[in-house]
Amino acid sequence: MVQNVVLPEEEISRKAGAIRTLSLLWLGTVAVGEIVIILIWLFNPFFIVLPLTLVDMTALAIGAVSYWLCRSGRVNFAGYFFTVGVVLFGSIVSPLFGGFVGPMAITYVFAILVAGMTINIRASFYIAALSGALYLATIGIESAKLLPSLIKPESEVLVLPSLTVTVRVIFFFMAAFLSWFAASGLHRALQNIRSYAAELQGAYEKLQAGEEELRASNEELQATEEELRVSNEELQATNEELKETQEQLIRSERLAAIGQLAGGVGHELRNPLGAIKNAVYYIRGKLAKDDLAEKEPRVMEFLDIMDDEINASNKIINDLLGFSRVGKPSVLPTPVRRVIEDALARVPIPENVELTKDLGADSTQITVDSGQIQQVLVNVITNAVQAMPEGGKLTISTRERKGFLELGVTDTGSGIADEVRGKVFEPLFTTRAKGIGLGLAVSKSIIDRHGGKIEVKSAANKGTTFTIILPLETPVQEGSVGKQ
Amino acid sequence: MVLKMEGNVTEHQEAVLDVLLEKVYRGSGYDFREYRRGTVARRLERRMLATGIRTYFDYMHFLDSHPEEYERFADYLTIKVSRFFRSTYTFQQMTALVLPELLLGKKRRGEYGLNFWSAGCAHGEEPHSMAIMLADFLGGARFRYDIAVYASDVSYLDLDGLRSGVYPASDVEDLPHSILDKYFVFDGRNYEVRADIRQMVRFFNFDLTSRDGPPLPGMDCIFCCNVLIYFERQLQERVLEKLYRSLAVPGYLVLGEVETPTTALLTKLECLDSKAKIYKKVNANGE
Repeated sequence: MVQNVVLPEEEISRKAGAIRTLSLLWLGTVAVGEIVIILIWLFNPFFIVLPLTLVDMTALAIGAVSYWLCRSGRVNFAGYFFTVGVVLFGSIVSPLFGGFVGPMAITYVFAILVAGMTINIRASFYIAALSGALYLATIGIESAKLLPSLIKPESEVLVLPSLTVTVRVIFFFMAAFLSWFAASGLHRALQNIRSYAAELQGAYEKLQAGEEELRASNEELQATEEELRVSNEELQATNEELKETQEQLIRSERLAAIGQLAGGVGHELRNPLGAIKNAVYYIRGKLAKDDLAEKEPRVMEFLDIMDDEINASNKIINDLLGFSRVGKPSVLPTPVRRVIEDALARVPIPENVELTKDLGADSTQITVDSGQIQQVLVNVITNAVQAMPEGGKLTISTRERKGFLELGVTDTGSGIADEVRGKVFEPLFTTRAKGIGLGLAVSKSIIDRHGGKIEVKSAANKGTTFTIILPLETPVQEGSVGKQ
Repeated sequence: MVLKMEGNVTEHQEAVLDVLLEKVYRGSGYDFREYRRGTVARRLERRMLATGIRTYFDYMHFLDSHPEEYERFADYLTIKVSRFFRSTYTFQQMTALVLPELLLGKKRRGEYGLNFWSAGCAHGEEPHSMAIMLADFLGGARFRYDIAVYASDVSYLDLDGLRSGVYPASDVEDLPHSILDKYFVFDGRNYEVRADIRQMVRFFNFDLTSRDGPPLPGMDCIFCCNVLIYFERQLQERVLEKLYRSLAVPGYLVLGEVETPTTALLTKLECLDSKAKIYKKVNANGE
């Protein structure tokens, strides 16, 4: 709240201005009064020039001292002095010149104005009360004839009217001047207030603009932060993807290395195995005609074992070579049913395994390399059968969904333990004593090349489901003879 | 409709605000449609408070009956807060990093034109600061160069006032004496930028947000500080693209403290100082 709008220094300087103006006005009035007195005296030698001049000089002294006090910096004292001086002057002069109806009583008005303007409003009321009391006292003093009248009764008719007229005219102008003074002061004050207000408004506007800038900056910062967060997330996702790709690369590099090594070893082993196989065949032929076969039936038995193991070894070598040589699939539209049937024909299903075929979309044509997909199915079905040595149920199902074929192979066997489930598609991973752990790795590699996916779900002792998802139209173009 | 001073606009108000901005665009050409919503709403509400208008609709009527209000609105909405050498660090880095490099290049190529641009110059504090910076850096060599500091803003009430370069004492009091005494003339009440500095600065009206092409090609250095903060992303992108196209090669772009180039532009710019927000256009690719 604005309480001290006018500062003390300003109040003092305002008072000083008022005292200066009023005292000069007073001095001017007194001077004019003296001139008038002298003029009247010049025309009328009986005029009481000396007493009046004496009074005038007293007034002059009051005004001059007030002005000097004000000038020398004792503004407050000057105000008191001026007020008291004028009151005393009035109270002495007015009874002396014509009493309570005389012309000089009006001097009190000036005293009241001086008090109001040079001390404060309250002082002007005190002075008004004091003036009233003094003025009323004049009546008593006069009726008691206590004071000598300066004006002789015979010249009263001449002096009093002229004095009255002069003093009143002077006061008219004084009133006009004072009203101008007060009004201009008010005007100045108002203008000051206006300019303060404008300044304040300007400052406020600037503050507002500054605040808006701050807010906008803040919003910008927030937006930038948000963007940063988003791009950070994007970056993280990209990073993740990169890591994934990198891992895949490492995996396929490892696969390639294994493939190369395995292919080399396999190829080298194939010839000796072929020679052994030929040798066994020769021995068996020779022994068949000999009676050694009858005498020692176990010889033939061992030969059978050798034959079986050579075949098993050959299969491993074929797997190895197949793995290292899974080339681009050469695709042809093939009925799904035929692929499955062909695969099943290659895997002997034991009698204690019950086979269910749920071929929902068995008329579907699928554009694949049927040889490779058959190999995958053989691998998966073989796994399933081997997982159920005690027998169980084998279910093969197909389902067409949104341009993809879902092929499920479910067994009710021992299941795959949680900790190894993630590794079943890795090469050289196996849980079996027999087998080198390439079947599923090869399968995955084939399905990948077809643009498909192979997944495994398993619960311990309940069974396993392999799901192969293949696009009906394999996106492999090279080597494909499909409808174009 | 109740006004909220927080600048949270409801959906309804948002729609009315759209209409109002469309009206302002059609009525005056001032395009605030892609300005940041919060800023527009808050400034408009202040303006409405000042004019004693309560609703957006009433304000639209007011615009119809007082066409001069368009100008006031534009002036009120484009916030012009600036100081001489506002970001001390930026100017410091300008003289430490940019100017030596720029002038060396100019010398090698035998060029003597230096073109600077203060895009969004408010009351002229920034372009004058740039001119003073150049004069101070170059010293006597200044007269060998043909220096132009272009200064543009969207709305002016007093273009001549800007050109006169007169600032109240309170605006420049904080400047060091080395600058104040050298580049300003004090007339007892106000400070006036010295005539030789003023002559380097060329003020003109230009709306950065307009769809016109860059007005000044081949700029060596563009200051665009605390302008983008009032724009939505899309508009920021457009303005930045325009600034980028205005830059010479090499050219330097200086942004405000919290502003950054869009990601797309960042790839084309080299960041010289991320705190001072000084970016360099290194080649003309992508144009």
